Order: sequence, then structure tokens, then C-alpha cells
Amino acid sequence: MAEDTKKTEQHTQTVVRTRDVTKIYTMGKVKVPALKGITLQIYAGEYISIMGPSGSGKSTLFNMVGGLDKPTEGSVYIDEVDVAQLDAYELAWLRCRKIGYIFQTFNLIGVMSALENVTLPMTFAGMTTDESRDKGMFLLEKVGLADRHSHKPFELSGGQQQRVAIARAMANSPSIILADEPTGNLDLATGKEIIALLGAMNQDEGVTIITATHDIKMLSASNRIVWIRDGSLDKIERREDIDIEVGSVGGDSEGGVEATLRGDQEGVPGTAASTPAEEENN
Amino acid sequence: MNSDTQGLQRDKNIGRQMVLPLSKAVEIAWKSIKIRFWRSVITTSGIVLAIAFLMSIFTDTVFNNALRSVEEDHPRYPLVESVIQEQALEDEDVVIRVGILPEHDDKNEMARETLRFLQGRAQMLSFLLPSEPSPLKDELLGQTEMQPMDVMFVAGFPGRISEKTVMEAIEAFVDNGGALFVLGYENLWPEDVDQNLKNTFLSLLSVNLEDDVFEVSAQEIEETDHRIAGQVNWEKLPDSKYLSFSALEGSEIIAQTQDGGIAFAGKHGDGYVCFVPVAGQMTGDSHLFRWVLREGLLPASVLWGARDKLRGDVLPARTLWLVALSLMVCVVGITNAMLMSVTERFREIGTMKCLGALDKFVIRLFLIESSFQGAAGALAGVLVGFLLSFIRILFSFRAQDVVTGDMHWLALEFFPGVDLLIWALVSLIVGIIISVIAAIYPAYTAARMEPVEAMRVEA
Ligand SMILES: Nc1ncnc2c1ncn2[C@@H]1O[C@H](COP(=O)(O)OP(=O)(O)O)[C@@H](O)[C@H]1O
Ligand SMILES: [Mg+2]
Repeated sequence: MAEDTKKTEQHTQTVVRTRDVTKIYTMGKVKVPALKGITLQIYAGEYISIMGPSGSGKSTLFNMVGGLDKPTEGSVYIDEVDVAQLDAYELAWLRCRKIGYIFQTFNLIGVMSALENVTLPMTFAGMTTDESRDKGMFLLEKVGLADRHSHKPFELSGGQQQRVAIARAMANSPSIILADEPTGNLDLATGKEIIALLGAMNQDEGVTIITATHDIKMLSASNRIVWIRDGSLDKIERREDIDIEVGSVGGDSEGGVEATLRGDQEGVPGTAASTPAEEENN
Repeated sequence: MNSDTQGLQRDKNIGRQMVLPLSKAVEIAWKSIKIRFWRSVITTSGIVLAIAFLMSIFTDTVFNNALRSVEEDHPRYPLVESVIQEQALEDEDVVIRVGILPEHDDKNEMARETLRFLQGRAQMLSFLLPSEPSPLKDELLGQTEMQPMDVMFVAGFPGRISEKTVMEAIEAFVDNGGALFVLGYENLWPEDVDQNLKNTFLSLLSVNLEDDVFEVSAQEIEETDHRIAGQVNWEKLPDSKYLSFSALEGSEIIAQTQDGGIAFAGKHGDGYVCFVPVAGQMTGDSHLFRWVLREGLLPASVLWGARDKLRGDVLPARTLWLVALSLMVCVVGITNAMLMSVTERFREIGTMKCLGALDKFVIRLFLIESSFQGAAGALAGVLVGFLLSFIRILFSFRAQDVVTGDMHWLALEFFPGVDLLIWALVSLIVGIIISVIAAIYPAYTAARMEPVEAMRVEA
């Protein structure tokens, strides 16, 4: 009961806000509009999935939200701060402490052991070696790889590498974890484990998780799903709505998932501005 | 949201990233090298070669200087001197300039024969000197755009010497450190020769008077026949500092013509004078002339004339230019290799930036990495360069004592340990600086990389 209250409180506090985010890539003389005005609010403690076919602009939106890229027009606010206003030091601070990044290609630093990979962001944050080693081991334990702490990335499987990456993303207790196609290079079973782990982090640590995926099998842990099509916001759905339609089939079989897709016509396009109150009322 | 509250929020929510401690950068850089060991070795090989080249030149210079600083009263001085000359003659940059004062053809031919003999031992350029006294003096002393002569041959006697202005030019040349050869000085003086001129010449002949080696006088054989005759104080010769003389120990006389003329050489002013009688050759007995050539009196005197050159700059400009060139090539090579490495490591760099690394940190990382490679490569280069040079020097800096027959390893006897250490350190620092300079551009390229690069999926 107490947990529920806490969760509700978290879900009312905006952690990321985008306003009319437009991104136009200029390739020579050709202008490619990748995002066409996205307005979105993400609340603290949410697990949000950005869904859409390949090339729909997920990664582009994602990079804006993560402070990795600047919009052509519109603004991105993280903790109510306009990212475009930050200088290099503040951006680095933001990336170090506010956001944890998880990559499709895992991106562990090849020359470092699992533990060293996890402690690197702590060192960047100015933590002492002893503190960071303890916290690093704690995090590795959480992702079930404490016994592999001295292994180099090439000695770990893809799934294990991604677990280390999750531990690393959690290093400075960020308020947001950004994961662009975190399961893109993993097989289905391992991918689901990773999604489950992210879900656990979301539940236990209350960290906001934003992932992008084009694979609807990876939606199980999401609170909300943001559908993107051709650079525009298609619709925003709560997972419960999908679950109800999928019913007992669950997310395991492809058939069930397809059923979800087909039954998913109720989502209201253009609900970008939908308030948390509305969604909680559902 | 208005800008005021935004400013407030920003202060509250976002801090400023601090610069990462150096130790972490060192650690990461070191690991990056370790994991790409062979690649680093290849990147570094350029530094190894360039620094080996540099160190080998430093080693040569240091050993040469060590020999050059041996005092004249040191017991090994004659051996040292001979080694220095041999070394200098091997150096193609040393060219000895020989001027021939033209005379009758047969005399010129004699001068040329002497030159041909000498050319086997040293790199020589010969010039026919101008006949007019004033351009002659200019050319001897290098007052034209040309360099001064090192050695001068007077192929006929007394011939042109009996001209006052020519004699003055020759004397000035010798006083300035040139080496004068007079071939066939024992010829007759013309009866009408200026008496002052004759005295000047006699003073030239009285070379080495301070050592009392020679006593020279004009002899009047007949009323019209003035010959130069000399006596050698032989007891003095073995102590003489000149190689050729010390090699003559036990000889009765240096050389003697049938009619009592002698060949001798010695110091006069800053220069040297060498008188060689050729009468023997004229009379069909060329024994003396050849003997003088063979025993090295002439070559030694030629070397005396060029002694400043032979003792001079061990590092000619051309060598310095080659070193600079090899270092520049090295810089370009390292820059290229590191740029490639930066391009390949886009994901690693992008990831580090996503984890909160500042541009400064990335720059540091690459500079430290490169300085490590530079230090390792330069260290290897120093060792390689020293060993290669030292082995060569060890065998060329040895000389046999003519008297005792002992072999002296001068490179070991005069081993310049401290200087070598200093120059090894200099080479090491040059190596590190070169690699850091080479890494500056790649490091900035890496630092400019956007963190979003980490997201790139395609390789
Ligand atoms: N750096 C870029 N330069 C030019 N066009 C880009 C760039 N990144 C993405 N795009 C284009 O923007 C669109 C959206 O891409 P992206 O955000 O990567 O889609 P998704 O992640 O959903 O597959 C695509 O048409 C893509 O070609
Ligand atoms: Mg993408």
C-alpha cells in the first residue's frame, strides 16, 4: 500500500518533457525530417517504451531526450531544465549523474573488466576508489554477475555484457535510464531477461526507464508505450490496455503479440498531451 | 516556463562536471595500449627508428667530442689524433680544398701526381689558382664567395715565389692556418732575387723552430747557386706531436736527396709548411719523392691543413636536416595511425562521453597514450641507436701504438658515460614530445566526437 502511494507520487512528477521537438537532418541539399514536432511528458519512475518501425525516428527522439543531440526546433527539458541551455560541463554532469545509457551494441569499454566498466562513471562523478568498488560489486551482484567482475567484455556473452551495461548505467543512481534497442543484438530469451532486469531496476530503484524498440515482444515491463510513425507521435498507450486485449496469451507467443497489434486500434492518436491524471483514471 | 524559474531550476538540478583525476586517464591509456599491443608496437616503430637515428648521431658526436677533448699532453694524444683524422676522412662531408699555383707543365704534373696519391685517402677538390697576386690571395683566404683553401701546392721553385706579392699572399695563407707544399724547394735561387724575399722564404722554411727540430739555412754552393739546406734535430722528433714524425722513430733522417736536400714539415704561424725536394725525380731517382708520399708525410701535412675541418662540426647541417626529416616523417606516421585508431574507437569514445567524460579527459587520454608509446618507442630507439653506433665506434676508435704494438680501445678508455646519459635522456624526451605533438590533432578529433556516436549500430 505504501509502495503504491510512493509510485503514484513518482508518476506525477515530470522528469522529461519535450515540446514540439523537430529534427531535420540535412544531407547535402536534401533535408530529411526525422521528427515532426513531438510533445511528450515522461514521469518519474515510469517505464516507457518508444515503439515504431525502423526509421520512424525513435533513435532520433531518444538522442534528444538523452541530451545527446539538439533539436532543430522545440525544446527538451530534463528536470525542467532546457537541455539546449547547458554548457559542455553541465551536459557532461547530466550524462554522468542524471542519465544512464544502455546501447544496442552494449558498448562496454573493451580494455576494462566488468567491475572497472561499472565503476568508470563513478570515477567520473568523483567517487573514491573504495566506495566505487563496493558499489560496483553491489550492482554486479544485482545483475547476477558478481562472480564475473574481473572478466573482460570479450569473455562475456552478449546477455552478460548487457547486464554489465545495466549495472554501469545504474552506477551513479541516475533518475533516467535510456536504452535504445537494448535487445537488438540479443536472442529472444536473453532479450526478455534483459527487459525483466530493466523492469526490476524500475521497480526496485524507482529509476525512470525509457527504451526504444521496434520489437513488440519487448514491451512486457512498460507502463506506457509511445508509438511513433514517420517522425510523428502516433499514440500513447498504457500497457494494461494491451494486456487486457492480449489476455491470457501473454507476451510469449508471436500469435499473442500479433493479436495485440490487431486489437490495438483503440489507442487515441495525438494523445501526446494526455495528463498523468487521465492515465491514472483509466 | 519563464526564463527566471528556468535559471533557478538549472542551478538546483544540474551541476558542473569536474575534471577527472590524471591517474584514471593514465590507467585507461595504459590499458588501451596493452590491449592493442601489436598495433601500438607498429605505431611506435616509427619512433623507434627515428630516435635510434637521433641517438646514433648523438652517440657518434659524444664519442667524437670525448676524443677531441683529450689534451695534447695526454700520452694517448697521437693515437687519438690519428683516429680523429681517420674518422673525419670517412665522413663524406669533409672535403679538402687544394689550390695549385700553376707553373711549368712538368711541375704541375708533379702536383697532380701528389694529389692523385692523396685522393685515395681523403676527399679532395683541386683548383688551379689564379696567376694575379691579388685574386690569388683572395682565393687562398676565401675572400671571394668561395671557401678558403686548406692546402696550397707551389709546384715550381722559386718560380712565382720570387714575386714579392705572391710570397706575401702565401705567407698570409700559412699564417691563417693553411698548409703549404713546396715541391722542389732545393732548386736554385736566381741570382738577382730580392734579398728580403729570400729571408721571408727562409723564415717560412724555419718551421717548428720552437721545437728546435729544424735548422735551415741558405747555402751558397757556388757563387750563382743558392740552395736551401737544413738539418734535422733528430732527438726531438720522437717527442713531436705529429703522427708522421712519431712513426719515423729510429729513422736517421726524414728524407735526403743525393745532394743533401731534405723533406720536412712543421708548424709555421697557425699553419703548416711541407717542403719536398724533387731533384731526385728530375735526375731519374724518384725514390725520395715516393718515400715522402708513402711514409705519409704529405698526407699528414694535408690533414694538418684541413685540421679545423677535420676537428670541426661532427654534426653537419645535412645530418641535422636528415634527423629533422625523419622526426617529421615520424610525426606524420603517428598522426595517421592515431587518426585511424580514433576513427575505429568511435564507440568507445562516444560511450565514455555518455558516461560523463569531458572533452579534456578524452584529449588527455590520447595524449597520455601517445606519450607512453613515445616513451617506450624512444627507449627502444635509444638502446638500438646507441648499440649500433657503439659497436661501430668501438672498432673504429682503436689504434695500435707503433712503439709497443699494443692495441688501444680508445672508445673504452675515453668512455663518455655522463654525456651519453644526458643525450639518451634528451632523445627520450624528444621521442615523447614528438609523439605527443603527433597525437594533438587525433586527440582533438576524438574529443570533438559526439557522444551520440556511441549509439551508432553499424561498424
Ligand atoms: N545522422 C543522420 N543523418 C541523416 N539522417 C538520419 C540520421 N539519423 C537518422 N536519420 C534519418 O532519420 C530517420 C529516423 O531515423 P532513426 O531515428 O534512426 O529511426 P529508428 O531509430 O526509429 O529506426 C531515418 O529516415 C533516418 O534515415
Ligand atoms: Mg534506431
